[in-house]
Amino acid sequence: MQPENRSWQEIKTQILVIGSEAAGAKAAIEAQEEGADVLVVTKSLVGKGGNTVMAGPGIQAPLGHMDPRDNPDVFFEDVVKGGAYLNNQKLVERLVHLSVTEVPKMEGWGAKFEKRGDKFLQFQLPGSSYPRTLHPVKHRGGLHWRRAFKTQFGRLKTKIMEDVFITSLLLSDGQVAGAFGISLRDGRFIVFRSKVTILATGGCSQIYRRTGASIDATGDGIVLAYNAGADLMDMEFHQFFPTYCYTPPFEMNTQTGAFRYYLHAKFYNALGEEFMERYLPLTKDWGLRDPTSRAIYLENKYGRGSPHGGAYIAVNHLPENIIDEWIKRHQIDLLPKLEKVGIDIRRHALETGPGSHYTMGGVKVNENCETALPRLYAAGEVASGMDGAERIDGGPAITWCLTMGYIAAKEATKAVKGLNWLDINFEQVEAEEKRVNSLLKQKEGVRGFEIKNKIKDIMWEYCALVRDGEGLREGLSLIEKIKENDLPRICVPDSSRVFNKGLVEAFEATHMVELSEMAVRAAFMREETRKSHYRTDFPKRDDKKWLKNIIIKREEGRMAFTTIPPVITKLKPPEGEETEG
Amino acid sequence: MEDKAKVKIFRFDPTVDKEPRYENYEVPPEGWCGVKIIDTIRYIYENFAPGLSFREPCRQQLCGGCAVMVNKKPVLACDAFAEKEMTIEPVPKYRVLKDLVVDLSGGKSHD
Repeated sequence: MQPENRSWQEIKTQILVIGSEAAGAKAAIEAQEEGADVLVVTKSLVGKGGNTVMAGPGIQAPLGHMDPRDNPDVFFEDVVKGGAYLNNQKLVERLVHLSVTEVPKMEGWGAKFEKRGDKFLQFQLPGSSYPRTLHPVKHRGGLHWRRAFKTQFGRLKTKIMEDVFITSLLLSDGQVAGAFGISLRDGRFIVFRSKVTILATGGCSQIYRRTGASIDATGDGIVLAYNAGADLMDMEFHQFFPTYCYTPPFEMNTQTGAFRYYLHAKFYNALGEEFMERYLPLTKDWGLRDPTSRAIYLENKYGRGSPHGGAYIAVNHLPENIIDEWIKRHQIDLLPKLEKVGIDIRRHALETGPGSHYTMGGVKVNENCETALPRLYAAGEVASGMDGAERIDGGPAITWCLTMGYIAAKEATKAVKGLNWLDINFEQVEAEEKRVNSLLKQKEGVRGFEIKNKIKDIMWEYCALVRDGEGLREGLSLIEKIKENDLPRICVPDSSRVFNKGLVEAFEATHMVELSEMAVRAAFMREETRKSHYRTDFPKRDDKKWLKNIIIKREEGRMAFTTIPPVITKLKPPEGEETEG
Repeated sequence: MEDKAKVKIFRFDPTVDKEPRYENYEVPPEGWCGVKIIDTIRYIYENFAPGLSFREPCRQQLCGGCAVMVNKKPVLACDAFAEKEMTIEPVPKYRVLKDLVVDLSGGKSHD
């Protein structure tokens, strides 16, 4: 029964999209094109929140414009080999084929690419067999993506609600009936009723001390799905990017990466040694992200790192006029900032180092972007299965957002035609209200940001680039202490429901604790080394035991871990294959 | 040893307050020396003013979400370094939602 004086507003939509950036925007736009009624909600701001606006210069599509040998089959092979065969091959197959149409479509939507005539310029980055990475102009991919999406939102008059924090997915007989949220602008509680819901909330890179990801990347959507009973997968796999700017700290990171990828920067340690060869004798400075990050981490462990725990990159092996030409052509706006701290990139090295960058794991989906829960879809970094144990370099992240957003939109639009709105379970709504209100009443205890800080340190220390059983056990016991001692005392000193940062951080911190426990437990379970997951106590890849995905599901309030064989269609791992990193 | 910085911040919750007000905070060196303005704002939120509302989506000069007025000049709080005396206010011409947070949805983007 619906209470008479309800304290929330009800908003009905056919399709609810949670998350407004690349994956969510694409899903919303394509669903609207199909005639569906769509509402997009974001906890942040369109075009500002999330990782999309921060995306680097690359996006991948096997167009073959620079090398006709490239095609979706080669892309497929690179992605699956890069992910060490843990990818869902049915899903990857769909994504690589769709990328051929959905990536160039961004040009028509308002993104500007580097081109020669009608051909897109394509560059070859580590992990790709042929030049495949398209470049938006000015080395600021994110600005182009947000312009393109905003233009389409404007054209389609997309319904968007910003500053809405979703606390829970609403369930009705085991199906997703919508979501419960709080509007941060006025403190309203809102019950969103939807026929289907698409999660597009991104990853959880913020669980690590050092990260180049948006402050919003707290993995909320992964936990929303988990709490509702969906399956998660591959939560032990987190990617680190080797060349975040350490001095000055975390400035315009998309551009420090560009020095490496496009001016072929060399790495140096504090002794001036070109140390990459020690770890990556084949690829040297041109290694993949994780092994390159790990090499920097190890140099620091041996006392040869840079002052802030990183390494130096330099491009001064190149003639100055080549550097100048490149800078002029790409209008690199990082340079004045570096000049302010006395760095001239022509002559000086830049101190860079690893930070968490991307979450391979997430909500388990099939090739239709359907989750294990009826009426719930997931697209982009919040989902898993695209990347397996490692996402390859060169910009497939935005490619996945576009292609998965497209799939989710088409599937959701098809589904809504035969569906009606489900009844709302008012007990669940009341429980959510109570949860928010009691948080707002708790004035003494531990604040969200304090818990976040603890988690970041624990994860950086025990579950980052180099892992072992002993460290993971230690990490787990520290996380369990937080669950036992801190989470029950989480407090929100301010009582307002309007833009209460403490309230938002309390939810985010709770999510980060869950996600960290998942990562640590899964990493402990996986007794092997596979791509981003590097165990010093199990240094070899073990396909006999571990050609498996770890699935996490909430069962009676506890995390349950099982394994499944990955979805393999056409590319099987060769016996005894060993690759660098 | 550097002194404390004097930071004055615009505070306004339109759902409760009739008028905006300014609050003064004395920030020790760790909260303002050699750090960005966004770090000082966060320092104040963490240590003195848990109800302070502000935006900080990317912290890498990429999104524009943290724009504020500092000493009457518009800056990105993640770009400009903190100073010893600062008056921090929301950017003008937008409706104030709370404290330093304005309604950017109808406004122009940072492009």
